[in-house]
Amino acid sequence: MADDDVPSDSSLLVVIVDTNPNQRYIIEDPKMLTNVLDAVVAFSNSHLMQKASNELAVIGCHFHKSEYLYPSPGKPLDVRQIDGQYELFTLVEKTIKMRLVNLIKSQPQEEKPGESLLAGALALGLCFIARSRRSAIPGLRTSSRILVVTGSADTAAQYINYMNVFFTAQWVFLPEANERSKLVLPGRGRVDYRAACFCHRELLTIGYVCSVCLSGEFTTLRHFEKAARHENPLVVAAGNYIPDPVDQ
Amino acid sequence: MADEDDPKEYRWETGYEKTWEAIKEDEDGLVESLVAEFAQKAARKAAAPRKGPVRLGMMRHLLLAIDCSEAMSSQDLKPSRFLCTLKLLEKFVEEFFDQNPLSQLGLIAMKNKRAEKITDLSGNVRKHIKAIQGLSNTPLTGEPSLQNTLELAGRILRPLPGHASRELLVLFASLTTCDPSDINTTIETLKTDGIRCSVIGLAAEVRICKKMCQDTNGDYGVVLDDCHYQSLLLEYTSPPPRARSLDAGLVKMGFPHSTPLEEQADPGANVDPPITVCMCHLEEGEGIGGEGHLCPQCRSKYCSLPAQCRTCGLTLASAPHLARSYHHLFPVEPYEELDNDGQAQYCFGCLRTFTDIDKKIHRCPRCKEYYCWECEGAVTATLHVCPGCATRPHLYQRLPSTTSS
Repeated sequence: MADDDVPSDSSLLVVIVDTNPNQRYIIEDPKMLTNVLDAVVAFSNSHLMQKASNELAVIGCHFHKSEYLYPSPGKPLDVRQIDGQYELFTLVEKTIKMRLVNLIKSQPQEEKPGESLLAGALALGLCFIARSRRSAIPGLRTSSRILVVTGSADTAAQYINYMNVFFTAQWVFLPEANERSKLVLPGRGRVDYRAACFCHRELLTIGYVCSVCLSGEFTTLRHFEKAARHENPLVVAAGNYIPDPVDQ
Repeated sequence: MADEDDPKEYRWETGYEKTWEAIKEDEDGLVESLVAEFAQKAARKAAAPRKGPVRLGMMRHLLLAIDCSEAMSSQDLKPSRFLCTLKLLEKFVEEFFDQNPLSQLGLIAMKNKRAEKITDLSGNVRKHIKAIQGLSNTPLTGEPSLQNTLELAGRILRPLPGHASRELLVLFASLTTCDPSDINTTIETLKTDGIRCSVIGLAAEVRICKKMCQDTNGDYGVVLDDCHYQSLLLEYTSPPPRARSLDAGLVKMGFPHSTPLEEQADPGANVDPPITVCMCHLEEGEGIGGEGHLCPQCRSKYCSLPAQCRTCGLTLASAPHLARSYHHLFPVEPYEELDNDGQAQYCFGCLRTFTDIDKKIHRCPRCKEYYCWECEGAVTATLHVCPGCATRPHLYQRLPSTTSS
């Protein structure tokens, strides 16, 4: 956990880039992905430039799988100095571009692109952060954060994965506390914390939560129908917040 | 952690445990691989196998009974059993409400042959922690009374509605109990009421505690040292298997929501919210401000959720509080443990290269990716999401196959 007032000695940045071709901004103008990638590479390199001990990981999130674009799992690429650029920056850029090309080439041609599996990519990033924390030298203050760059909307099908990832990430700050005062942060926004009704998918302010689903095995939905017939207001069932894929 | 009836002798009858013989250096004189092996073995033991599909109780009412008798002043746990207990309890309370946000906790002190209620059953973390800190000056005299504690717990838990679990956890250091009548009848009453009694013993195993836990389907553990004490305590933050079959009741709950500022009728008006007093801080006189959650039924303001509305009795929560327990309903498929035969060069989750230190590697049976033992521990204990499965389009859905539309 990062300290609030003391700056950390080493900062880890994990960037998750959504490369799914069915994002609207890519469909409208495929060249935009190149611009996004250049910006991500520039941001990553400037992060590495802040301190010699800073670390970086970049994850590409495609529709058929997610992969680490940087660091490369095997041996790193052999880079020579080009144009006076710091070799690490060249390595970062070349590795990301090469692995992204491989990721896109490996996509199955006959499948239609599904939704972006960002919750899974976040889980991957959290594993990397956990490892970086474990292998840090004792006494070295580390801080970590995750940046997600995406043009996809939320889907209810990944709700459980998202919630698990968010609860785990409660231990990770974004960004470092002493930097936050210097950044222009987006507005707090109004997050809608209401639960959704099972039968109409409406968001409710008052509802009835099934004590079995919240507190027991998830079997069939018939016990709701039985209980619901005796109650007038709408029924909320915690375990059924996710809409059935058949309904969509 | 129940003590098994060992056919072997008692611990004091066995010879010396030559623990130093377990440490062996490898050819380079390093003990790194041995340390890693110990850590992996400990992690494997800590992740005890789940007892199969059981009904869990997630809306829990837990009463904590703390022994305040003379036995608690013993110094075999530093600085004393009592102070060690209080320190561990602060952590326990926080972790309990983190894992079970919709549950309620109450504190009881076993003082001088009587049982005294310290805090009422509530979900207010601060109140409990303050009460625990306030206990540190209690004089530790006399003997505890287990039966009076059980009677008090029964009185508190019996009138509660049937949809939530009823549990009692006793932290017991004494080897004796001073009871007014036959404790076995009290145990029988608790058993019929479905109250699950567990005990953590700080001294040694006491037969009546063991009987009580067995009869009410609870757990009995005796601590070896303070680390063991902490791990035993933290086990109780996970929901227990249900003590009796509870009906599929519907619990009325409120989900406070205020309309976003952009949607308010008069965009030109000054949109500062009115200053109101928050109901959770009424006694302390603080909590006057603009922001807060309004109860949908009676419009009283609460600054934090979850809360039990004092005016109308409605349980207030938000969707993430319900989602906190989802990992029990939708657990991750456990990873298989395989010998490291070079099946993979690096861990899928963290990209760490597998070396000779990794004698065993783990594989997910669904996505077939290989993970190191540290990622396996992180996924099982904290993340509850397999990164490989969650990034594959045919595997990321967590809905069980028995769902019928």
